[in-house]
Amino acid sequence: MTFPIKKNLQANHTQEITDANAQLKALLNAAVDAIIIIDHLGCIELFNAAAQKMFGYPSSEVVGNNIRMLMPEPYRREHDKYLSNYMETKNAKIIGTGREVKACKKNGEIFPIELSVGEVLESSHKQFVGIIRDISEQVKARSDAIANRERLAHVTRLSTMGEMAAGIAHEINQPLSAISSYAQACKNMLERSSNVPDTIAQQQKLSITLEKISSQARRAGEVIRRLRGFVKKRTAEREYVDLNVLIKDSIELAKVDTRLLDHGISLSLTASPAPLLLIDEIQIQQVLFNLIRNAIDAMEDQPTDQVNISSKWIDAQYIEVSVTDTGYGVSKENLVHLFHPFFTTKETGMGMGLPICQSIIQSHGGELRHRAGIDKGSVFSFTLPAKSIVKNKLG
Amino acid sequence: MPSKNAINSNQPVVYIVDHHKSVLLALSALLAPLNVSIKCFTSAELFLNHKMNNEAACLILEAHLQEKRESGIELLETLVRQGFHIPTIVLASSSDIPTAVRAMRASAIDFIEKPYIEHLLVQKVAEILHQSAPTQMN
Amino acid sequence: MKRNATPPVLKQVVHIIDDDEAVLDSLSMLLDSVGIKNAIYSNAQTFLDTHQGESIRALAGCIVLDVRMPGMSGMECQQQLEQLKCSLPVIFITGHGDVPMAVEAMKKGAIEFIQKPFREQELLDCIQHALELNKAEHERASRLLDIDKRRKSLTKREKEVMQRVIAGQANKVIACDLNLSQRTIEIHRSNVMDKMQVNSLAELVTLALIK
Repeated sequence: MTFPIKKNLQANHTQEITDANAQLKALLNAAVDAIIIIDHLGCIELFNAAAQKMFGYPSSEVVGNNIRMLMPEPYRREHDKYLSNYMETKNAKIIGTGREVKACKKNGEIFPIELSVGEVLESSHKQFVGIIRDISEQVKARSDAIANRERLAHVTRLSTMGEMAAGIAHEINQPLSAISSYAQACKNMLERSSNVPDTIAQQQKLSITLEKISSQARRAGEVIRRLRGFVKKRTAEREYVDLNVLIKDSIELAKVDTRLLDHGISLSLTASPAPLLLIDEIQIQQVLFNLIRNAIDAMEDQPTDQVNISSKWIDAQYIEVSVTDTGYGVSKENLVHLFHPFFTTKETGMGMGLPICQSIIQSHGGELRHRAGIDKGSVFSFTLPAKSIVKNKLG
Repeated sequence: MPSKNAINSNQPVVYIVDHHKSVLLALSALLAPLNVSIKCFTSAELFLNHKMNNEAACLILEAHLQEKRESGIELLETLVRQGFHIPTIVLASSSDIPTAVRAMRASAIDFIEKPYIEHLLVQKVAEILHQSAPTQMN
Repeated sequence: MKRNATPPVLKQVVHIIDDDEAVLDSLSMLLDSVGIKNAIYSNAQTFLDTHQGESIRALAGCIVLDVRMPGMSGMECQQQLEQLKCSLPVIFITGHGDVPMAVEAMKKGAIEFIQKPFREQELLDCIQHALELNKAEHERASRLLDIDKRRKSLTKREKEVMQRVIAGQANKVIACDLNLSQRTIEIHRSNVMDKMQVNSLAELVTLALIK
């Protein structure tokens, strides 16, 4: 194989070509990236030292074979098509730009690579050069970051619930108290009726009351289900969720913050078309819970003011959810640090609430923003990609 | 009759009942600036056996004496039954709502969970002595 | 001699105020099951609105009040009741409370502070106690009213005579003091005993001491 490096050949040009080839070989073998040269059919012509090390094949085992052997499915199946397509149309997305694909080592291990491809011009025949970088480390770091965010979010959810012990007791004690009173009332009714013949009316009343008891037991169960879902150790997963249902569910959950019993929440949710979101439900609940608690914190001097939660379509693809309070707002100097980790104006705060919320929303392809309320207070709103439920039912 | 160190017989008295000597010492030191006579008792019996004069007074009482739950509150109930009304602050080393409610029903002026906030307690005692002082003049 | 010996039966009602529908309904049913009249309100404002003005003072019974509610809290309601001079005993119930909250409620005159879930008998006993307190209070109030009415039926002269009689003065002395005949004093005195509905000097003195 020859490399047309120099055109202005002089008297001893043969020696120069030999020198140039030797230099090029040294260069190729010293390269950190794997470099592979193939012909127009995909037949491997050159496989440098880094490639041999990366894939685990000695040069002798690959040169002359088709490049497909280094690819896992589905790339393996498709590659011939790519090549012939390019030869016909001269149109390839991969040439000139790098992209992430998967490669396959001799031992069968599949690993992520960044591949950039160039066409060798002015050569005796059609050749392509591929430069390959193993990006296993970067990909791992990226997925570690996602796992870390979920772990941090989980820890924050746990610690939030830790602070809510009294409120959780309240949420469970209400139905328990009702169950206990209903049961005692039934007992009294039965004891009183032991002397007189039971009437149908009495039986009906007992039956209705017993139904109320089981409904209250289910209510207590719901509280526990919601809490367990919120604090359970889990992997992030996305599902289609009706945003309005999610918001109402989050409010039920937020009731463990007993201050909410004083404030109350007003809702103005967009109903038509109802928004359907592909999201991690627990994470978005966490964002809402966090924003509701911040709103209540800001209104400590207005103990009966309501928190308002609204949702609206901002265009066909995006929905915006806003949590509005009439509290003391955010001062100009604090505004800059609002979403910075460890920034807090609260005595007991960790300063992780908003940064986590923002990272959750961003990972869902949205934005979390703050603006001042109309007269006073704050509006925290986040956008999320959404589709309307009506369309989805048809699809 | 009057205690030996009482120079002024009208000097108000603060009675403290708690079985922990360290608490008695700490409270005595805390209340000393009020210019009051402080009398400490380590049990309900010792306090009940003490003959009280007619000076302005305040009682600081631990809710649970000698490891017996609510024995301090029993003492307070005994005093009420005997028609003996002395403004009382109940301090509680361990507390729950039923204990607090029982103390308040036994006409305690306040029920404070330990650890108490020092200056608030001093302020409270001063208020009580101030309010009960004029009635002593009648 | 005594008229109005049987006062009208006091119609006591337990007013339950709680924002939790199930708690409200179950408590109402519990009281129904033991034959205690009750009325329910889902918030404190409704209770105050229902019994606006003078009628809140005329209510008999007691109040079972939740501590934490949206809008007016139980504590605020208690304060309002005090300002309106409503004498109904207040029993607090709470799904979550702490010691300072309980102490505060008791300082303001609550007769109980009970945590949910409670033993029903405990609440019923407590309500019974509250109703007795309220009954005693009503009897005292209506007795005062009655005595006041009797006092007001006396003429100016009769009042003068009554004061001297109570002070232990003999008819002769009173006659002399007021420059009237002893016979006239005797008639006044008899009218006083009649109007005040008493049979003996001791009874008269007792009545006069009631305030």
